[in-house]
Amino acid sequence: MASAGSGDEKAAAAAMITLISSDNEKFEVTEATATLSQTIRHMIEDGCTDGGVPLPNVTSKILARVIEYCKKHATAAAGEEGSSSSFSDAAFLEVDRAFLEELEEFDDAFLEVDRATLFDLILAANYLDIKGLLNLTCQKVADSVKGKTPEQIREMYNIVNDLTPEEEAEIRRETQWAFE
Amino acid sequence: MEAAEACEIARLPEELISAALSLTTPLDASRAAAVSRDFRAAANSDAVWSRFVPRDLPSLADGELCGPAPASAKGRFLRLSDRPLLLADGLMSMWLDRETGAKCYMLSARSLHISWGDEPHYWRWIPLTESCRFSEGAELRAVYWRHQSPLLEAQQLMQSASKEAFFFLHEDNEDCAGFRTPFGRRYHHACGAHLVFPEKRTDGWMELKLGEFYVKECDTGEVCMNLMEIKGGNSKAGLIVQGIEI
Repeated sequence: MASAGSGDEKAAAAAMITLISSDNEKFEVTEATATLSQTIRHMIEDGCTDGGVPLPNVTSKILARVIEYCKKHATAAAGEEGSSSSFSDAAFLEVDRAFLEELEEFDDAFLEVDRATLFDLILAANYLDIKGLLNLTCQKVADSVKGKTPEQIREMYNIVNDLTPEEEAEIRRETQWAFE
Repeated sequence: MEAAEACEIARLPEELISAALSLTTPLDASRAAAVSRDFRAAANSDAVWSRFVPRDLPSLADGELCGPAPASAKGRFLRLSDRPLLLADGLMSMWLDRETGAKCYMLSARSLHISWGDEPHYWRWIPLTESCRFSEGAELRAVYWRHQSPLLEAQQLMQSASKEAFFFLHEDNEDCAGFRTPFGRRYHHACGAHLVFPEKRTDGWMELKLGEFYVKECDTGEVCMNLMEIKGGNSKAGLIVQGIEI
């Protein structure tokens, strides 16, 4: 017989949470999906999610994408947990690999967004404290600057160089090898 | 409206630019610092550079890091990549590759197993110049056959990284002979023999690539590197070995 504690957890797992975007759109998600966000997890723990969770920093367009990410990754996490007990080691590894490959494909497709959306996703992932999403989106920015010169980075992101010539010379002197 | 669209990345606060740059390399972060003031602040932050300094640094010999430690993580990184630092045993030196942050090691000639290394007929220990990290090198006087097999523990070397090993040789003696033909190189995993020619470096030493190996995180054990003549028996002399660089 399940204890009272795990009974509560079961009830909570089926519970739905309502997320409210900055433009007042409501999204119903399972708690398993919502708690990929540490920010929302803490709100749930504090019992202040009745009547919905307002997210004034996130638009409905971005929130929809974030929820898409969380759903996929929450499912994958649940699938992995479920499979570990019912498969032999080899079968488990096989399932594990299939999950990882599918997730990787999902992540790659997920990142096919314009720059403004990418930055919105980074800001939302940071605000909602979703580590995997923050890492994924920051990695895309990291990859975009890899191997680029300062001039190329400025051009790519339309950045105005507001360093004085002296400041820039000082930076280049400190790590001269990086500019050769 | 137009200006806001022009520089979207400016919407990210400094710590998020840092978070992205910490996923690049020391080379990329150094360059990013010269982009703009915002980028300079983000690219020089401890959040970025503390990611580039390995946490498990080996203990260094006394006096290798004299003076106060640099306050910033970037300063610490640059100091560790600036020049090789002698390790506590005095037989190995270590530095960080400034472009990738990878740990590099040089094993001194004294730490190698050199066939007949204690036979003064064949090998002589000579002092090395200031520019070398080790005080002694092994000079080959004359030998018809060579075989060197240093041993080192892979776990100690690196985690999950592919590595290249180089032999450091100096051929400045006038009576240097026998090295115009390719060396044979062989290493443990591949067990294949290849013909290689040493390449000249800017510091006057020649380097001879021994091979590449890959260490997974869970691997422990020893990597064995040999340098030997596999063809012919012509006499050799004048070779000075400083060490092996990994």
